[in-house]
Amino acid sequence: MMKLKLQIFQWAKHISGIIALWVFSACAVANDPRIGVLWPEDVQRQQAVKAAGQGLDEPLSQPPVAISEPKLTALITEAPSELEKTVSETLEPITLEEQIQQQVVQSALSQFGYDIFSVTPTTFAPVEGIPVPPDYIIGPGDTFVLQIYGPADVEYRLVVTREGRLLIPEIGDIQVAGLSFEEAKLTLQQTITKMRIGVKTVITLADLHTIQILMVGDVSRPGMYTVSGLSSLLNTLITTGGIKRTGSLRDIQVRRHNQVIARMDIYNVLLKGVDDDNIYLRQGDVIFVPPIGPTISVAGEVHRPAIYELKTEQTVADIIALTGGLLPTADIGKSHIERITPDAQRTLLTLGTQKTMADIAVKNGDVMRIFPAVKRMDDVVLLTGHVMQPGGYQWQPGMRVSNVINHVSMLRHSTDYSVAMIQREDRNTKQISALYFDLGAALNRPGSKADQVLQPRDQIVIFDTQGARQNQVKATLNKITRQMAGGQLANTFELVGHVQHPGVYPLETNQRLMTLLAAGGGLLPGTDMAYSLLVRTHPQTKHIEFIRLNLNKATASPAGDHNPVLKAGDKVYLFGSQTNRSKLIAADIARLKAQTRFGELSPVVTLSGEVVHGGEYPVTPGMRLEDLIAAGGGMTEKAYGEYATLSRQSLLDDEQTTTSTLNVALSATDQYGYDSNMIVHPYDHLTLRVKPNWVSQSRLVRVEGEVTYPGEYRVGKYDTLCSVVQRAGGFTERAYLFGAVFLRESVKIREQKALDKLFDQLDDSLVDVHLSPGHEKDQKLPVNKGATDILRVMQGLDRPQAVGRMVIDLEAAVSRCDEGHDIALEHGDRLIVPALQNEVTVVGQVYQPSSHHFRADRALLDYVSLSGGTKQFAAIEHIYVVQANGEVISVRSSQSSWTWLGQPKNLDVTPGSTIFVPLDLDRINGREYTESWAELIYKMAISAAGLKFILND
Amino acid sequence: MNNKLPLILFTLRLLPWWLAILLLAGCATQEHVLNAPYRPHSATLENYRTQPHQRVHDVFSPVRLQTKAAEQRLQVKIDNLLVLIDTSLDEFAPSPYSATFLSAYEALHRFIHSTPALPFETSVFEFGAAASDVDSLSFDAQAQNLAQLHPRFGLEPLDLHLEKRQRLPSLGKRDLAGALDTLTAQRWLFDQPLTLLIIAPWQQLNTHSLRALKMFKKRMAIHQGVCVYLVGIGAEYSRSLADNARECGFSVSAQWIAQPAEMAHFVERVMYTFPADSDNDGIYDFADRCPATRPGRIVNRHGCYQFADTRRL
Repeated sequence: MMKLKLQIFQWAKHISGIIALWVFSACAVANDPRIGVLWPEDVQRQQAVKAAGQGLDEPLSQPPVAISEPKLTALITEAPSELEKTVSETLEPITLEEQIQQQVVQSALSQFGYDIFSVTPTTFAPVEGIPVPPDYIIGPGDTFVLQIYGPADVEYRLVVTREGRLLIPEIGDIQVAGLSFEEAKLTLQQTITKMRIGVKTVITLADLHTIQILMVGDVSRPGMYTVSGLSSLLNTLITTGGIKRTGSLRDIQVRRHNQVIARMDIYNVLLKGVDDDNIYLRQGDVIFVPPIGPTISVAGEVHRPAIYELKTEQTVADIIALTGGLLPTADIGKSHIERITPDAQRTLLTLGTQKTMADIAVKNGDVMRIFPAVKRMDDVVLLTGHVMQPGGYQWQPGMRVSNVINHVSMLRHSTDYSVAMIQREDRNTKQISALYFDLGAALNRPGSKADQVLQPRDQIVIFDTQGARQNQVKATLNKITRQMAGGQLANTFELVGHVQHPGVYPLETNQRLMTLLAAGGGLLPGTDMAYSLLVRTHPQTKHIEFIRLNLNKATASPAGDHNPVLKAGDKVYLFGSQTNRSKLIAADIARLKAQTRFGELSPVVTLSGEVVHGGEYPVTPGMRLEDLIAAGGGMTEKAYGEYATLSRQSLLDDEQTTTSTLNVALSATDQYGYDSNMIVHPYDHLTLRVKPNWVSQSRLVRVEGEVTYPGEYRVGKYDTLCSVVQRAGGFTERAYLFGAVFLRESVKIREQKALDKLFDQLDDSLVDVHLSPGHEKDQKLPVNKGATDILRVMQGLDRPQAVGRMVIDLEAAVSRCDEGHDIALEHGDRLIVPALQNEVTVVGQVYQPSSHHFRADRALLDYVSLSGGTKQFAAIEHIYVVQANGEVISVRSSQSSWTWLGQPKNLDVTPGSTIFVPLDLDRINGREYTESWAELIYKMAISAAGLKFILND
Repeated sequence: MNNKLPLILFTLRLLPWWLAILLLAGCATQEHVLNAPYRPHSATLENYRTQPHQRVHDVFSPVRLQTKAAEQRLQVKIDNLLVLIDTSLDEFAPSPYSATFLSAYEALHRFIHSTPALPFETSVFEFGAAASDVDSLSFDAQAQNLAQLHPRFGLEPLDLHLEKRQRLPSLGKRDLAGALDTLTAQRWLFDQPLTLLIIAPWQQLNTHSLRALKMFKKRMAIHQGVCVYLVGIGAEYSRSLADNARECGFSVSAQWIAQPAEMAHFVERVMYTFPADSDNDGIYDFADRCPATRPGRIVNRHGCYQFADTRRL
C-alpha cells in the first residue's frame, strides 16, 4: 500500500513536471506566427489572451523560465498539393504527344487525420489565463482569490479544501465543491454580502484544480493522466500522444460514471471545424478509443487522396465528399473501385458517371482509383518549327494553312517558303503520315491547292533554309518508323549527296521524286542532271536495286519514268559535279555485292582512267557504256575519245572464268557493236586512256645569266639545250661558257638520296665503332678516341644539301647541236651562264684561304703557296681542283705525272677554279673509315665551293 | 729388341700428339655427323620437277557453241572466214597432243571442231615451209569475190577433212608476208567484211609480215574492212605485235585456247558479237521477259517496265 502511494507520488511528480513544460511550450505555440493551422484550443487560448490583455480579467502569469521553441517542422514546409501539381503540368508547352499512363495513380496512401497527432507537442499545456468557463465545476484544489473592499480592503487566496469547503477568514466555511463556478461565485457573494454589510467582493479563480483521467483503447500511450481541470477531450487526446492508426477517429467515447456522456468524431473537426463534442473533462473520466471502423482508400485525382474511416458514409459520392472532391483532371469514366468480394477475390467496379456515383455503395476495404484524364489534345492544330510563336491553335472545320499562319510576320527570318510539312494522324488508325506543301503558294494564294485543308491534330512544321532540317523532322520520323511492324520498311525516303539538307524524310505517298526533293531543299545548282541513282529496297527480300535516273528527263516530262513515284525505303543519290560518287555509294555497292548469290554476278562495274570520278558503279538495268561514262561524270579533258579498253569477265562452260580485253570505239559506231552503245556486263572494267602526247604540265626551263634574253622558256617534246639557247638569243660577249652551271631537279633528288644514304651509313658505322670494345678483350669500354671525335664532328655537321649540278660541255652542246653533245631538257632545268670569272680560290688547310687573280703562268701549287702554303695537317697528295664547269681534277688522279721528288704535280688550273686542300684524315683516325670520311668531305666541298660564286640562293 | 726400344720410346713421346690427332679426328667425325649428314640417297635438284603444271591436251571433246548461241541468241558477226595456216613447226612437236605445244594443224582442227554449223563456207590456205609448192589459189573468172575464192569448204566437210588429217590447199612455200602480199595483190571485190584467221608460229610476225598485214588491211578498208585474229604457235607468253587498239581482232597463243572451254570462248569471240536485244532496252532478249518495251522507258533487270504505268497518277 505504501509502495503504491510512493509510485503515485512519483507519477505525480512526473506529471507536474510535464505540466510545467506544457505551460512554456503552449505559450511558445501561441506566439509563433508561422503556425498555419490553429486547433480549437489555440483559438480559444488566443481569444483569452486578447481578453486578458484588455484588463478584463486577472493579469497573465508570466512563464517562469524561457524555453526553446518546439520542433514543428512538419507544418512549415508543405509539399505541393495534387491540384498544384496538375496545374503546373498543364502549363508545359502544348504538344500532340500522347504519353502512356499506367493505371498507377499513387504509390502510397496514408490514413486520413492521424497526422494531427504527429505534430503536437507531447507536453501538457496549462490552461492558465483563460476565462473560467461558467460550467466549470469547482473541486478541491481550486484556488479562489477574494477581494473584499469597502470599509476594509482585504484580499484572500483561498484553496478549496478536500472536503470541498472554502475557509474564509472572519466569515467561515462555505461549501463550494460540486458547484459550477458561476454558482460558487454567486453563493460566495451572497454569503459575504450577508455576513459583512457594505462590502463588495470580487471573486476569481486563480489556480485550478487538476483532474485525473484514464486513456484507454487504441491510443498511443494508454494510462492514467493528471491534467488541468480545464482540459477538453481533444486537447487531452493531442497532448497525451493521440490515437494509434489502429484506433478510430470517428467514435471517441468519454465515459463518466459508467455512462457514455460524449462521442466525438474528429472528422467533424478536421473537415467541418465542428467541435460540439469536444467536452471538458472531469475528474475520473475515461476516454476510450475503439478500434478503427471500416475504411476506404481513395487514390488519384482527388484533393486529399488518403485512407478514410467510414461512419455514416454509404456511397461513392459521400466518400468523394470526404476527400474534398474530385480534381478537375479526374476521369470518372475510367476510374474504378477495387473490391474484395465475399469469396475473397479481388474485382473491379466501374464508377460510371458523376450521377451514378451517388448510387454505388461502398464496402469496407474498397480501394478507389480515380484516374486522370488522358493528356491528349484534340481539335487542335499545332504549329512548330521556324515560327515566332510555336504552339497550338484551335481547329475548325475547313481550316487551312493560311488560317493558322494568317500573316507572314508569324514566320521567322530565313523561313523556307518552298516547302513545309504537315504531320497528319489518321482519326481511325492513328497512323502518322506526312505531306508536303508549298508554303509560299499557300500564303500567297489562300484557298489554292497548296493551301492544305487541315485536320484535327495536324502538326505544321515550318522549315528553315539553313538549319539542320533533320532535327525538325526527327520526331515525325520516329513516329513513322515506330508504327511499322517489325522488319517492314518505314514510310520514309532518304536524300543523299548533293542536296541542301540530306537525310531521311517522311514519305508522302503517291508523290514523285521532283516534288519530294523540295523536302531536302530542292535541286542544288551544280547537280549532275544526267546521272542520279535511286536505290529501291524490295519490301520482302530487302534486296536493293539501283535505278538510274536522268533528272533532265525528269524535269522535261514530270510524269515520265525518270520522275518516279517514291516508295517506302527509297534512297535517292544526287551527285554534284565535285562529289566523289563511288565513295558516296560505296556502302550500297557493298550491300549489292553481299546480296548476290551463286549463279548470278554482282551488278557492279569499275570505271577508271581519264574520267572525272572513277570507281565502282552499279549496273543499272539496260546500262550501256555511255551511261557508265556519264556515271563517272564524263571524260576528262585529256581523255582519249576514240577508243577505250574494256575488260570483261565471262564464265566459260565449266564454271571457269576468263577475262578478255575488248577495244571499244567511243565516238564512232563500230560495225560489230563494240562501241559506246555496248551493254555493260557485271564486273566489266572500262579504262579510259590519255590522249597521246598530252602535255598536262608544261615543261619550263630557266636560262639565267649571260644570255641575251634570260628568263623562263617553255619547252616542247623536241626542244634541247641548243634550241633553248637559240631562243634566248645566244650568249653575250661576257659569257663564260666553261663555267656554266646546269642544274637538274631529278639529279638533285638522286644526289640528295645518295648523300643521305652516305651520311646514314657513316653514322651507323661510327656508332658501331663507338660502341664496339677495344681489341683487348678486357677493355669493355670504347677507347677509340678518333672514332669518338669523328662522331662528335658528324653530329655537329649539317646534312649537306644536294644542288643537282650536272657537268656539261655547254660550248659543245650549243655549237654543235648534235646527238652526242646536245642535251634533252626536263622540266625545272636551270642553265646559269656566268660572266667570266677571273679568280682562283684556295680553301682548306692553307694558312689563309683566299681568292687570287687568274694568271696563265700560274699553276696549282703557285696559288696554294700564295695562300700561305699548306698547314701541318694538310694532305698535299690529296689536293684537288674543282673546275668552273664542275669537273674535278685531283692531284692524286694524275699520279703518273708526279715529279720525281715526290712533290705533287703543279697542275694547270682554269679561271674560276677552286683549289681544295683537304685535311689529312689519317691524323685524325687511322682506321678504316678514312675513305668514307674523305668522300663525304669531298662531296661537301663540291657543293660548297663549286657553286659559291654562282648561286647566291 | 734394341732397335725397337727407341722406336717405342719415340712413339710414347709422341703419344700426346697421337691423342691430339685422334681427338681432332673424333671432332671431325662428330662435326660431320652433327652438321652435315651424309646421305647417299638424298634427293638432288634433278629429282624435282620445276616446270609449271601443264594440263593434258590429248583428248579434245569440244564444247559446242550451238546451245549457247541458240539460248542467248548470239548474233553472228562474220560472213566470210579465210584461214591462213603455217604448219611448219608441227613436225617439231613432241607429239600432236603435247602438253606444252599445240600444233597449228591441231589448233585449226579444234577451232573448226568447236564452231557451230553456220551456213557459210570458208577457205583455208597453207603457207610456209611445210606447204606444198603448188599454188592452189584460184578465182572465179566472172566475179572477183571472196565467195568465188577456191577451193572452199563448208564447215562440216572441213571438220571431216581435218579429222582425216588431209593436206590443205596451199599458197606456196611463202612466208606470212609473202602469203599476205599474194592476197593483197588480187583484184577482188568484197561486199562483206572479211575475217582472217592466221595460225602461224610467232616467228612469222616480223616486220615484213606486219607491213604486209597493214597493206592487206588497207586494201580491205576500201571495202568492208577486215578482222584479223592471230593464233601463235610456239612459246606460250609471246604476244603479237599485230594487236592494235583501234582495230578489231586480237591474238592469242595456241596453248591458251587448247582446252575445250577456252576454245569455245575463242570461237565465240571470233564468230559472234553479243546476244540480240531486239527492243533495244539494254536487256538481252534471252533475259527479256517483256519484249517490245517502248523506247525511253526505264526497265528493270527482266526487261519489263521498272515503274508501273504511272501516267494515270
